[in-house]
Amino acid sequence: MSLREQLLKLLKNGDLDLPSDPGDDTPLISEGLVDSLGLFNLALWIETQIGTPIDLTSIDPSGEWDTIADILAFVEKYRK
Amino acid sequence: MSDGYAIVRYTPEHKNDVVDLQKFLWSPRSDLNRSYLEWKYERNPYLEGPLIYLALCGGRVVGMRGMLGAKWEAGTPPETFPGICTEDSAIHPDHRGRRISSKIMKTFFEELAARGHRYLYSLTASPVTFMGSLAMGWKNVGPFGLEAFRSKRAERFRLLRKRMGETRVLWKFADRLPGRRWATRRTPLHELRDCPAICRQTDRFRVVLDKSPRPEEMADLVARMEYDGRIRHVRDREYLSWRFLNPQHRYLFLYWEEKGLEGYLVLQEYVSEFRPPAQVNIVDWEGTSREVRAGLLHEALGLCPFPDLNIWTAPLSEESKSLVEDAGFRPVHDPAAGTKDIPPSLLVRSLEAGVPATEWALDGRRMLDMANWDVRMIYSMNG
Repeated sequence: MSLREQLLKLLKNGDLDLPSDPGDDTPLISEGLVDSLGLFNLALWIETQIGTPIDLTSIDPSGEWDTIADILAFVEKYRK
Repeated sequence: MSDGYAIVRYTPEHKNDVVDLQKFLWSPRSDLNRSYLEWKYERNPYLEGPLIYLALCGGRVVGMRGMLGAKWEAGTPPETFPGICTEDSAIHPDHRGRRISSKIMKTFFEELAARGHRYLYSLTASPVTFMGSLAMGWKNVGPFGLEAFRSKRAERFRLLRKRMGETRVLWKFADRLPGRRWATRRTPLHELRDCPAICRQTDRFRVVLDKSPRPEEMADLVARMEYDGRIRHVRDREYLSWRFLNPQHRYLFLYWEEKGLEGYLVLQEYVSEFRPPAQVNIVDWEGTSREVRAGLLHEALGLCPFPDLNIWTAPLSEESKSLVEDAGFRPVHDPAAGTKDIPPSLLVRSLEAGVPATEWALDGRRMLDMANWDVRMIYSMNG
């Protein structure tokens, strides 16, 4: 399963109002499509992917993880 | 309300519904929830009436968020600033994942900005709310430095229970350990002894244990003590008279008396079945000298073998931090653990558009620097 497919599976796992196939540039966080619990699970998933804890004092989820493309780029950038 | 939810301002006719909804967050008891709602929102000294928004679905209350009035001070001489703290996010389980929280918060942002408020504060965010808040423009100032003193017996029990919980077959029996009743006993403070009582007495001073606050004397002491100008909540008679009436908590006070009050230490435990039963917090601690502060801490630790005694160390002076460390308190959270172990933290959000977070300030003190805050557990509804 590709990283994108894993991410989509995670996002659809929650009871969220997501489109059936959100595009890579659909704003997920700034538009409120991912709720607090979904975001918490997303953060855990990202930490697993990059293999290191996120710095909670500097992270800006709506700026850095707003779309599927943003999230995948973040993972690629920080993956160890 | 195209999605079926209407966001409305709380009115007294919603009280019963809110009391019921809060059985998911505050406590399973209606009487306790009602008295908490009335104390916290109707009698808050800094707002005229409850500032609560509700989500209604088919006329039923299915979500809420409350805002608590506060009064910060900063600078020397101190200047006061009205503050609003976010509280009590509750969504009925059947309606979660419907963006209700963010809709309520957006309504709050607009209303509070229109009223002229510049900032919002959060001192009680759970790990999930913490992440959701960051996504809505909040900034993490930093952790409160939660540290705990745990008796050796409690630590052994906790470790054993954890190991059993992680082991196949044994996990089923982890809750049946013989020490469970002791280690999780409720209200350890109120099993202590009759109050008021004199804990220690010399020719020069005495330490008194009491269940009643002394708002006037405590406020006088705070006013007498040197103030370094960090951002903190005002602790005057009005605030202290209201603050210790929280029906969800029980408080116990240690007073250091000489000719007048020279110090106090406030212990707190939870009443609600939803909160840790054996946890006791030091929610405020003042003393005019190292001897007074050390003596009060020593008496607190000697009252009973608290299974779990907690304090926020971020606001403490280096001297008080060393007292806490020498007494055996240790950090509860690993600050570098990331999302797996989010510590209790201070969050701030600006209500003004276009102001960079680096410029958020009270009395010229940058808000995103924890060193500019004297933030004690008593300012939070966790304490």
